[in-house]
Amino acid sequence: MIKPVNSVFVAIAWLCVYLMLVLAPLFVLLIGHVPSGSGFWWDFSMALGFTAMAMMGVQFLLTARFRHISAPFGIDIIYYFHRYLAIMAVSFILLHFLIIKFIYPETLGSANPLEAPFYMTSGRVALIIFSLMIISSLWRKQISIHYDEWRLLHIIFAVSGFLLAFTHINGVAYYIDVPEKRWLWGVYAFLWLTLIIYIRLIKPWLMFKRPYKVIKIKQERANSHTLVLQPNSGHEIVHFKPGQFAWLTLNSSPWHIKEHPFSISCSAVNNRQIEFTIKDLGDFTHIIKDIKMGDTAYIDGPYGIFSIDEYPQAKGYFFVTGGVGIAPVMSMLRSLADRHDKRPLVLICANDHWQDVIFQEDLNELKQCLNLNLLHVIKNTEEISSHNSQDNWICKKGLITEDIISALLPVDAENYEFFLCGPKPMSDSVQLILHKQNIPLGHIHLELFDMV
Amino acid sequence: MREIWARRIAYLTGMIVLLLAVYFSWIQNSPNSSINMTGKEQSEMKTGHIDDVDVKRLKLGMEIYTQQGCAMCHSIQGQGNPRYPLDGVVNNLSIEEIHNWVTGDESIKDQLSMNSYKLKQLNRELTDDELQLLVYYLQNAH
Repeated sequence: MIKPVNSVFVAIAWLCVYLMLVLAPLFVLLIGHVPSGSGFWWDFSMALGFTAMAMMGVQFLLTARFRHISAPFGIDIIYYFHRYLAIMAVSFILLHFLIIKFIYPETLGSANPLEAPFYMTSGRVALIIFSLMIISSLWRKQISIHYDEWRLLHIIFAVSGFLLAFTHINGVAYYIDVPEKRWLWGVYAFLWLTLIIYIRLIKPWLMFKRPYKVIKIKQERANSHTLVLQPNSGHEIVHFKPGQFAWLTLNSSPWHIKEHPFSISCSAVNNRQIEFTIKDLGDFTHIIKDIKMGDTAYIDGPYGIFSIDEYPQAKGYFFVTGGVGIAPVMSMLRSLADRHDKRPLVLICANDHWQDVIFQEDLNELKQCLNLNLLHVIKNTEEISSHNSQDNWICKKGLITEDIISALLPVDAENYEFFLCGPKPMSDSVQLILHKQNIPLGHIHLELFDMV
Repeated sequence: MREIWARRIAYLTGMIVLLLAVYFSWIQNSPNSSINMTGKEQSEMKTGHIDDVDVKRLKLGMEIYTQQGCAMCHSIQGQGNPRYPLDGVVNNLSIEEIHNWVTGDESIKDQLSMNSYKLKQLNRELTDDELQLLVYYLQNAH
């Protein structure tokens, strides 16, 4: 079954809300006394400035991780939306400046901060800060900024840029010279600042009140570990759907912005513990090596729509994973096993080496209680047999190809839901193969990571 | 593909915002208003009365106008900020009233935003001669 139509309407409704929030300043400007026009380009430049400022404000809302907003889209898409809208908002701010610079150069006055009014310098510095924010986000890896440092920098840039831009608008005071409009604009800006306070102070405090303790660390294959967490102060464990993920803060205060998204790998049925499987990839995942039993953890989540529970009416499920991408799929398989679900399942599990197959033994066990057709695809191997009759799984050498997928595709594949989780090249290639096999886009689900 | 859709929707949203900003600017500017002309067009409207005034004083006044950054908030003959054009504005004011406006006198406080009021007070650092030249420029440079 494809996504409920309701979700599409909800998604469109949220997009309309977004447009209203962004355009609200323009409508406010047109209320009551409206100053006469000052020439198309001048007013266009001002309109760009106001809407770009509103767009920057809504950016805080997009990354506040409100589940109701992200549910119809998936939070990964919200983050992509955040990225592209930021590029446009900063382009609008740049255009606002360039129109003034080339058509009305006298109005800019001196660029020397010692001579220029503070509100003009604020505008210039805000433009520089917003530009740096875009550069550091789009090319973080190329300019070698560590993820944790980038996040802190991003927050500092965003808040300082927003405050400086607000100072600029308030100082210039065009269109908002009437007290009522100034008041409305002030309230609008105040709402965004309140949101920042919620995200950075109140939300971490709520997490702080619900700590977890690391009760077990399981060494997995391929330099991976599974952390088993249990509530530390008698509170209920966070309720999640199989396949979802959460932001995890380990050995740090929730206010320190050291959280990272990790997939939940345990069953969602009747659990008193929650498990995250993390592979040490050398970046922020490196922290996994320093975690000890008894360490404190905080969970912000769950998030994501990469879950079988979003499509309960499916005739069966088809999973394709690469490397540690097996983690959320394990959560789904374990939940299906705990629910005694006998629907047909297919899992193509791709890895570079046989010894890197995470949950190798667990998968064999799950095969005993699930109607699971399991195929391992190993890129580099000469040693393993092509068919293991005892555990009834098949292994192919190389990469996932169209032949492999078409051979495993059920006759009634249009009634299946497809879940892809792994490196981007793998997901892209499998998506194209499925598309060629006439699988509708609405049936193919994947989560996008590695956005920054 | 989801990423592509996210990008498409985001760009579509941006285009809607851009078009509405264009619409806002269009309705703000009536086709019959002289203020819709660009700075260049307005510059071409120069009148001939400048021959009757003291060109040297006018030039000195203009230098002070430029040095004080008046064009950041005002325009004359289409040059500068079109939001508050000064062309003809001072025609019905006495020299003293112009002086009060230029220096942000208490008498005009209620007619200005606090920011503009404070900015005008920066002109109080000018000498009496310089203020006279600035007022002379405002009276004649249009």
